[in-house]
Amino acid sequence: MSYTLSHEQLSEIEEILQHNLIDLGVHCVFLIDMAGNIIANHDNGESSHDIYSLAALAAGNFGAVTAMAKIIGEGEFSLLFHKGEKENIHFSKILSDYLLITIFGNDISLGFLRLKVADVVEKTNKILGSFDAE
Amino acid sequence: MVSEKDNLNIQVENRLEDLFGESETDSPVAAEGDDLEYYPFRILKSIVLSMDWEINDDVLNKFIEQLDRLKDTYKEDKILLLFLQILHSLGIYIKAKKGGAHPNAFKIINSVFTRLEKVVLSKNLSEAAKKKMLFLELSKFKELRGAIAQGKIDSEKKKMPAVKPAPAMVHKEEEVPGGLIASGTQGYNGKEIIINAVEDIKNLIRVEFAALREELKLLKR
Amino acid sequence: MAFINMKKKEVQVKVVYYGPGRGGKTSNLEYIYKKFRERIQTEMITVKTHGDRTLFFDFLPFDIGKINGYDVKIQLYTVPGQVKYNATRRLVLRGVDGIVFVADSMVIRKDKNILSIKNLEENLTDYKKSISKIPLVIQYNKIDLAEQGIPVLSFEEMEKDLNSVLKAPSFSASAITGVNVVQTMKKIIAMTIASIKQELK
Repeated sequence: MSYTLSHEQLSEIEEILQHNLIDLGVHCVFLIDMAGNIIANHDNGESSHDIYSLAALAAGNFGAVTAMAKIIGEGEFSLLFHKGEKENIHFSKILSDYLLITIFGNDISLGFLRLKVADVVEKTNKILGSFDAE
Repeated sequence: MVSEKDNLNIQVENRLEDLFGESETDSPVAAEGDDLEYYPFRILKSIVLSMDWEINDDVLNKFIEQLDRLKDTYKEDKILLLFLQILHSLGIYIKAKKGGAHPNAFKIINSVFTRLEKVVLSKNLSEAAKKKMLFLELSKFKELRGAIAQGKIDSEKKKMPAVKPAPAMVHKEEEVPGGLIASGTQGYNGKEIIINAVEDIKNLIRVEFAALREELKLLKR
Repeated sequence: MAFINMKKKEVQVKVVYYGPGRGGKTSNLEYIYKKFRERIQTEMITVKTHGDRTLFFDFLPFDIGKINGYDVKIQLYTVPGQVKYNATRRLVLRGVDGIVFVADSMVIRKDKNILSIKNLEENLTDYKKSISKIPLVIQYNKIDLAEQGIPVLSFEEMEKDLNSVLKAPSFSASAITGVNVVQTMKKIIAMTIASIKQELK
C-alpha cells in the first residue's frame, strides 16, 4: 500500500509554505503524514535540522498527545506547541492524516503564527484532499 | 493533661491569628472603582496577553470593546486617548485582515500597550516624557501604515500599469513634517504633531472601514 | 503506507521491529547503526527509559540508493516490547510497510513470544492490515546464549510456535554478535520494496 503526490501538488504545497510562512520569518516548516514520512519541507536557508528524525518524533509526539486527549475525554487538543528559549515548535493537523510542523523564533508571536497556519491549513486541505490514496 | 490541651489550643489560636488575624497593614477589600487596588487596564492587559496565544474574532471584539470603554473614560487625557486610539485602529485592521495583516501590526500592539502601561503606572513621569513615548509609538504606527499602503500599491501595480497611491495617505504625508519618523525632537511644535497624528489615525480608520465595508459587501453576495 | 514523492522521485518506506520486551529489537538497530556508521550518515534516535529500555521507539533512517529511478529511503523503527506500552506500539505501527518480528530464543520467553505475535496481529487489524499479507520476516534472536549454557528453544520449536501458519521467511540470529542481523534487514527491505513495486513503475 502506498500513496503518491504529483509534481504539481507538491510544487503548490511548497509555494504555499514559502509564501505564507518562510517569507514571514519562520525558520523551518515541514508537512508530514502520521507515519512520520516527510511530504514537503522548506526552511529559511539558515537552519539545518535533522528533519527526518524530527518528523518521526513529531508524528510519535502528536500521536501520543492525541491518545492522551482521548483518555481525558477530549477529541484532540487544539494547541500543541513547545516553547524553547530561542526556538519554538508548533503542530497543526491537516485533514486527518497530516501534520504541519513549524519551527520559529521569538520574533513571531504564537497568536500571529496560528493565524497564518490556519490560512496554510485551509489552502493545503484543498490540495491534499484531492490526491489518490490506495 | 489540661496544660497540654491548653498548649495545643494556644498553638492553634496563634496559627489562626497568623493566618487570619486583623492587621493595620491589611489592604481594604477593593471595591470596583476603589483606586487602592483597582487597575483600570487590567482587562485590556489580559486581552493583549491572550492575543499572544490566540487571535480570533472573539478576542478582537473584546479588545475593541474594551478600548471603546477606556477611550470614553480617558477622553480628557489626550496622551492616553491617543495610545488607545492607536490600539483601536490596530484592532480593527487585524480583525479585517486576520492572517493577511502586516506582521508588524501584532508587534506594535504589544509595544504600544507596554508603553501605555508605563505612562499609566509611573508616578513621576513628566508630560514631556509621556509625549516622547507616545511619539515613539506613533512613528512605528506611521511606518506600519506606510508599509501597508505600499503593500496595497504594489499589489495594485501588479493589476494595473498606471497607479495612483491612495490620496488620503499621500495627503497626510505632506501635512506632517518629517519629525515623527526622525528620532530627534528639535524644530517642531508638540501640540501640532499630536493633532496631525490624530488626523492620521482618523484617516487610517476611515480607509480601513471603507475596505471592510467592501469586503462585507462581497461576502453578502 | 509508503510515501512516494513524484517531484523528488523518492520513496519512503517504514519497517518496524516488533517483539517481546528485551528480545533484541533495539540491539538489531544498534548493530546495523554501528556496522554501517560511515554509510548511514544519519544519527540513530532512541527514546529510552533510565533502565535503557525502549520507552517510545528507536529510529534509524537511511538511503539505499536508486531503484527503478526512485531514491529509496528506509526508516527502521523499533517498538517498546513491554506489555504496558501497547498504546505506544500501536502509534509506531501506524503506516508500517514491513515488519521484523524479533522473537527471544530463551526457553523462559516462549509464552511471551506467542503473546507478542498475537498482539502484533491485533494491532495490525486495528489498521485494517493483515499479518499474513504484510511483508514479514521472523528472527529467532539470542542463539549465542546456547554457547553459554542457557536453555534456548530450537529452530523447529520456534517455527511451530510462531510460523506454522504464516510461513514467513525466518532466521536464527544473534543481534549482539551480528549473526544474520544484516540478512534479516536485507530480506525485509527486499520484500517491502517488492510489495510496492507496482507503484514504482
